[in-house]
Amino acid sequence: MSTDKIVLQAEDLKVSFPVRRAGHSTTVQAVRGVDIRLRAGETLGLVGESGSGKSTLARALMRLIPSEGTVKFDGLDVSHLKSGAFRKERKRIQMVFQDPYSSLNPSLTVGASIAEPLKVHTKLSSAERAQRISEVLTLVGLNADYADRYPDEFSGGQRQRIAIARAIVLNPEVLVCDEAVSALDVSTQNQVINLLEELRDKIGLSYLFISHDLAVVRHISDYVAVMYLGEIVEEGPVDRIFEAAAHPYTQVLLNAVPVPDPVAQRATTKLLLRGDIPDPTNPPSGCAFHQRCPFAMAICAQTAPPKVEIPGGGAAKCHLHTSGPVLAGRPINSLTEAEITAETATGKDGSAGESLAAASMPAPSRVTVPGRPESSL
Amino acid sequence: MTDAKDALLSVENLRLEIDFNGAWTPVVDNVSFSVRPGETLGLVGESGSGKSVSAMSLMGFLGRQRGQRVSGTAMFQGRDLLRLTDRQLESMRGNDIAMVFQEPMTSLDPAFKVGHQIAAGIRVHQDVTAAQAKELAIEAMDKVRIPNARVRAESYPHEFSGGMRQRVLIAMAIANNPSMLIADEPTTALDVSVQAQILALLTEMKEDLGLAMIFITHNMGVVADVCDRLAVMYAGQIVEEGDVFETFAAPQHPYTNRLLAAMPSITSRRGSLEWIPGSPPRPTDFVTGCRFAPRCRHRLESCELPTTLLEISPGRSNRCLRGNTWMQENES
Amino acid sequence: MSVMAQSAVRKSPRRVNPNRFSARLKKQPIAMAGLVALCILATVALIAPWVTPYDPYAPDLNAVLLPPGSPGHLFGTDELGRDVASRLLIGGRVSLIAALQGTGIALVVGVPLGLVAGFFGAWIDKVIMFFTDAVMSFPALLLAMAIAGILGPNLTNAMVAIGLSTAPRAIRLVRGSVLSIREETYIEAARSIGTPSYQIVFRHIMPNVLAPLVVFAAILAGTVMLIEAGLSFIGLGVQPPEASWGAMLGSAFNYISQSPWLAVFPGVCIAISVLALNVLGDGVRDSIGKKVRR
Repeated sequence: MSTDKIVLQAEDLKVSFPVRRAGHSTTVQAVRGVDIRLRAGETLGLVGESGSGKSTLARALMRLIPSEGTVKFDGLDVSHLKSGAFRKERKRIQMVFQDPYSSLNPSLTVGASIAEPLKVHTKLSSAERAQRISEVLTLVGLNADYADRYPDEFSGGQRQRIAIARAIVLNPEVLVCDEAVSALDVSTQNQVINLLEELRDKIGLSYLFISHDLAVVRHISDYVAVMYLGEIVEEGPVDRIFEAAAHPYTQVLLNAVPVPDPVAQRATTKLLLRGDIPDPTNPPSGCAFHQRCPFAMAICAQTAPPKVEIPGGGAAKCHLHTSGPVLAGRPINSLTEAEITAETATGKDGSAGESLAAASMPAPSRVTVPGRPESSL
Repeated sequence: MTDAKDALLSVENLRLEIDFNGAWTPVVDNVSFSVRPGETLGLVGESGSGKSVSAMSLMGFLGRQRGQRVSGTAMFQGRDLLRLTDRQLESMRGNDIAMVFQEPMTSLDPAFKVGHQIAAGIRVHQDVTAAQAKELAIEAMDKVRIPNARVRAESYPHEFSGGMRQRVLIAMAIANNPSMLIADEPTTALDVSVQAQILALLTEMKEDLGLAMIFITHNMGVVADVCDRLAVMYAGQIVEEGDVFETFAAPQHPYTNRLLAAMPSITSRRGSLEWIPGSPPRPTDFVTGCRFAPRCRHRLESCELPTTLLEISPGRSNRCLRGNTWMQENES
Repeated sequence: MSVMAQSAVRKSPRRVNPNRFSARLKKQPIAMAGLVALCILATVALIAPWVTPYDPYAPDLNAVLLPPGSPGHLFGTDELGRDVASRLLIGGRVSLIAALQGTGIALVVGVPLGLVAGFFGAWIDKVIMFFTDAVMSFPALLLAMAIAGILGPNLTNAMVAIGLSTAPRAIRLVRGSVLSIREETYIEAARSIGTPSYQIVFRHIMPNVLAPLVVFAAILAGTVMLIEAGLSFIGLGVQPPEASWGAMLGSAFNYISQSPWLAVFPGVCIAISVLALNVLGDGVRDSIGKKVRR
């Protein structure tokens, strides 16, 4: 199904917000120079924890918030278009949001909600619109006569279908799904995912599928990008990422997902991260992950790792895969506890205090082959 | 069901009814389970299955107001929780039975330092001076591995991250040495890497302090990680109860079976994901027969008969009217 | 496997009912009483010029200060011998029109400014809110007196003054609702679709602002009626020989010891109308309620 046509591309995309922190204002770099490419008919899974910037990235692509860098829809550079000209291009890329309860206006009928894109972008008569609305309702597995009803008559799963119907009514090339199934129970979630896959085959949609649920991402994606603190730290074909993750963050993330099988789950050696995601207004020097990384070396705090190609496809930003460790590296686990305490106690802000958790938290027990986690997952 | 004698908490026929426009409607009914000292029971189900409601009724947060009524028995250390006065229940909550909730953001008062909040909880239940309570609070923060506890006790909740706040709540819960902890979706709002930290902590607490736990969650992976036994709830009833390993290996109730089959896997890809047709009934639509029957692929006409949770082997119970005969049917 | 099969709509006992609002309102006897009272007032105001038993402006010096129940003059006469019943009817018309004018001006000025301030934010919000705060820091009645004093005493000027001095309340209300609705995902969804701003305002924001606005308008109308009475009482509103309830109350003040009924009738009328508007406003608010979610 996938061709070489690139329907959505971002180059060096940056988003920053002004924030006011303790009286003085600074900026936070929520997205720090991200490149993505989405091929026609493909699903690009974007994973990351809260604060990683994945939803901000989606909003920047949709131009719901201002950004720097280049965004191309189907090869056309839209980043310099004025808002009027950009509006015409919006129909190529549509979005499905997380909360199906607040993404539909409760005072509009289902039909009126789905009609909105048609009114904005087409000159269809109201009869033609009604025709198209019943088409898409049928396409998403709903009854065509639901158009006259109000959103509060429907369950979460049905509302998400309605939101999908609204998003595909203009025949877009790309659908950005921002945690689109996260608010749903598993059975409903699966139905919506199956629907998305069905639509991909039927009308040739491509998806940018944003989720914190790695199992869902594994199921639906062809290609996966992992975000951490505003950067893509690893990307690659889905099977390579899930079977041979190169970046320690990806490894930890995969390791942290509890498997619904008590035997396997309890046999897994758990790689626990120290602390939480750092304060984005004050990102760590060098590699943004180095304070929490079980394999961190001296160089990681000094130099940001470049993007390195990984065998099996894709790339990662990690010194384990550069020539760094051989020359300058020293595993942080070889530091004594006193050294760690001294190192972290110097910081006064909350994030440095958090990283102290490292000292007392059980250290990951297997660090023998960096970059090759135990594949007991 | 386990033998009620050696149980720490033994719940029999818990039933909570709510007045919906004049009609008393059971939201949970026939809920019976028991928890032994040091044991973790997972209470699992989709949203609206009644898992939180059951726990809230035990703790007296539901069922004591107008328009609600609760019946059944819940024996805890020789006393029936459902028949205690409000006063007696208050002295028990946070002391013998502690709770941890889903939202670490809203469960703490933003206006007070966390050390002070933990100490306040200690002084309610223990006869100690303010200074002693403070020391006990710091000790509890140490136990849940909050680094630099003495310093962090002087911080306000907003100065903590989500994961650290959940640790503070756990510290608050264990500060009075309870014998049981009710954890209601304690990791649902957290990121997966933080969830792993909290689950590891809870497992450790359980082993170190000999805590019994009721762990309410919708996540089967979390159950597989921390629970000894599980009770699966559907439409206000327990449909299956048993040992975690046995139940995951061979679920006895079709609902458990479908729920486990529906979990997307992180280790492999399948063609399309499993799902259960229809949606769970609401309390006003509960029927006397099997409540899952309308969505069940193994449904027979006899499934309209009233159901009971039957013990099928020691420690394992099943509500399916067909026992395990449905298993022979071809998976289509 | 097909995903088309399931999705029967949940059979919901609370199906969306276009009459849900009126059904709820009907369950509130006090609000309904207010509504009925207002309907009667409105009808009377509408037909007043044709049903007054006497010319409300014609003095009759043979029948000055007659007490209520006098033959031919059910409610008595005033100091110039004018029929009180007739003047109450005409005065009610004037008072109601004044309330409509004042409220109307407050809304016409306040709603657009509130929408703009709430939706666009940034500097324009700051400018609008600065003036709003400045105006609100004056008591409305004082401000109305000042404006009426400058423009000259007549009813329309008084109503312009009242409208302008109460407009900030409308601005604040509308801005507040817009700010909360602006955070709803469906607004972001509309922006992602490419819906122009003005359509977002009219299609998604206005209908949601409308509900609190109706309540606000009813209560504001009551307030305006009171302020009108106050202004007329001190001579800055309706000018003699015109009648409004407030003006009648004002002139009755001189005869309060000998003919108290002159003050009682317009006073009771004002009280009933304001009360009716307030209870109706409360009833409407309770009937709209918040949309039941989940």
